[in-house]
Amino acid sequence: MIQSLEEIAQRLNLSIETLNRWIRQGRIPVSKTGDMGMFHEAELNKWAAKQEKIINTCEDSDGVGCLSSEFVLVTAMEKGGVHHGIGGTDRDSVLHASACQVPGLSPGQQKGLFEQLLAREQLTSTGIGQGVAIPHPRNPLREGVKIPMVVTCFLENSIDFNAIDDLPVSTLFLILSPAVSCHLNLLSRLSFCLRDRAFMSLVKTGPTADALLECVQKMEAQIEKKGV
Amino acid sequence: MKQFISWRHPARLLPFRRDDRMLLIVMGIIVGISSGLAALGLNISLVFMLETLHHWRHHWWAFLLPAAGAMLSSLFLEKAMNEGAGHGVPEVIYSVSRYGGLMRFRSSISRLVASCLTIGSGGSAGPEAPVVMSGAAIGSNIAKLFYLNDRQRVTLVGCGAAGAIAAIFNAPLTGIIFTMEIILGEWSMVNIIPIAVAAVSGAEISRLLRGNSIAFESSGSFHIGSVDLVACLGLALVASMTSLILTRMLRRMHGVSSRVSVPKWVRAAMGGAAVGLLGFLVPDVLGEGYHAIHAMIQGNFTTGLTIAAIACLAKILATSLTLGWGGSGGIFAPCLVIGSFAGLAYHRLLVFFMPSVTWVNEGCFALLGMAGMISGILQAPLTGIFLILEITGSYEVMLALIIVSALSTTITHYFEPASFYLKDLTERGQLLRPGTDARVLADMTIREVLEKDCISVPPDMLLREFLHVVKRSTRNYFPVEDPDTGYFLGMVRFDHVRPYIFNTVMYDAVLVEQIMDADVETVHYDDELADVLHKMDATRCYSLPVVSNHRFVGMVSKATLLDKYRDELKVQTTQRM
Repeated sequence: MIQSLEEIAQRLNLSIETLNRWIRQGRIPVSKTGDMGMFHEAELNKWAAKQEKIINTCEDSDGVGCLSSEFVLVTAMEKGGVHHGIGGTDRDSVLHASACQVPGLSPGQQKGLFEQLLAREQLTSTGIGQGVAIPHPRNPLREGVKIPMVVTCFLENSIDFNAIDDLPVSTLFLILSPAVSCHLNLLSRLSFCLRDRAFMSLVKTGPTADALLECVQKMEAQIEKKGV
Repeated sequence: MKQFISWRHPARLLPFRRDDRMLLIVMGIIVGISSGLAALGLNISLVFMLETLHHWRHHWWAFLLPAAGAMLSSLFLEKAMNEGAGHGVPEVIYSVSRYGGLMRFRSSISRLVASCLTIGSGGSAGPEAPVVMSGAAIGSNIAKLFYLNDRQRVTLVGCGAAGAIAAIFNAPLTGIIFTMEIILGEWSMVNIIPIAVAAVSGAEISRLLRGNSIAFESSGSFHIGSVDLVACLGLALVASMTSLILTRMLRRMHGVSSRVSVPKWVRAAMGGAAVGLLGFLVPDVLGEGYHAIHAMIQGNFTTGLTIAAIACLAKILATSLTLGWGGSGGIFAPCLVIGSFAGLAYHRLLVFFMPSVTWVNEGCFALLGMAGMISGILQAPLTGIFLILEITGSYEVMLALIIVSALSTTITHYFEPASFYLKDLTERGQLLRPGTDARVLADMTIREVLEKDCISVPPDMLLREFLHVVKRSTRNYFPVEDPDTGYFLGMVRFDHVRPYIFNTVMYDAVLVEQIMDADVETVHYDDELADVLHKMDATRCYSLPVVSNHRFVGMVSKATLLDKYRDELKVQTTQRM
């Protein structure tokens, strides 16, 4: 099999200099023809096993690639959807109603999510002031959530949420993510938006999905440009 | 895909591509035969020179002969070959450990001619080390011709050395052991087989052309009793002391001669003349001295205790005069001569003090003395044992041989931790045996462990902006570069900034150049990793910036180094099977 030296070096997780030297010294079963390396697949694998070296297969290990991708927040909000007129008279009923809005969850998973949200609220309130709460489960959900989602819920009537500024809450951003790193990224970007005065006044009016997403898109473009 | 494979790329042939052992064996035969021929060539020309010069030996000006020989050999090496004097074995060892056995083609004949001139004219030195160097260079150049890689080339260098030793002593086992113990310094199956094959073919060539004769065959067999075994302990002591004297004397002579400010060839001539004068008093010191050994082993050496002791010391002096003053040749043959003189003297001493005890034949003690001397000087007991076994063909002295060799090595090691061949290399830190820390570090370069994922910042950046950079970075080190010239100015370590990053008042008040470390320790591309690590330890840093041509190119850190170091160590050690 013939591959370029760079590819081989990448597969073996070596620097190109090391690979070149090992070939020259005859320490690796690869021979060099010009810029290309010639090797026998099974032989190289055997060698790597002997070295306890991990050969990277061609496909990338697909972790949850949300840290690297751009516009995470907007994508997550699109996926989660924007919902108006969520009914309920107290915190629990509102949370239950919002949990039912999450797309792609079975009734059993919805119940599980609701219980987790409640458990989080009992720890401390997620009402972060100015009529906004960001309920989320304490741990990433095991099943149901494969991609990060932010479900936006505008409530029918403001309810008491034990928020830090004691104001009643009228908007919920339900954050669901498959991994912790993802959650932090979403949260940090969302909080960047929520600190913005213009954004907050838009949220207070209970805007349509398009208007809200457009605004978030603009804000996130700023983040991409200079960091959170 | 059909590929054209030239005969000069045998390693690409299908049968050899996956397993090159067969290839190495075939190459080993070629190298063994060639180096065997080189060894025989030197041997024959030495005999020729001795016979030619023999007629002039009795003239009063005969002492000038060694002078002329040494002078010519020094001139030849210096002017024609552009190489330093000496026996060449350390050069081979260094080339094996540092350059994958790469050697110049001219090395394959330079030492042969030079040592032939020195020894043939009467200088006290041996032909073995030059032959080893020549054989090694032949192996290296054959490997180069066939585009073999470093590992295969090192094996062929070993094959050359083994073939040469095997041919010159008609001793294949010694060839293998010498190569493994001294030249390569590792025992691996992959190497042993081609080297054994080369040694056999070298010996076979010598047998074909010279006949299968044992170099110093004894007249009868030796019957060693328990008293003799006890006496061996004393002999080991004598042999190791003698080898100590020789080592010290050689070094002393070298020191003295290097202080004399005349050209090298004049120096060599002076040494040669001194040897010639010494030769008037004790004729046995001249040349390689094998005829004296022969006489001693046979038991025909009739001189008394005093003469034997004087001959021993005179030979030591002559050898150090020849080699220390710039003559060319090895230490092997003089060691054998000195060892047998020492053994003989010891025997005479025993007889003198305890005349009633029946001692074994004096030839046996001469033989054991040789083994003790070789083991002591070379710090290689196995080489000593096998060499004596093969060149004398006396298997019955095995027990005594082992005792003397082992003891002599041990005792000498107390006073001279490094062997004669390795001493210079060890002192210069160039002894890099496979699988050792020094070797692993020497093989890796800074380029291979360089980390390039640092974000550089300009010196006039505000702390606020700098913190944005910190957010994006995965590293704790930030090189500061001059925006105009790109020159490296210093380093910002996140550790140093950490206390201030939560103080918002400082965000717009502090510039990067106010928090950077300006006189930071840097390293360069061509620094040795051992030095880099030493620098890290001295400054207690875990990472150092690499600066080339005033520009920052990356960081070296201990963490990455450990990673690569393990890879390298595994690669270097798992090949041995």
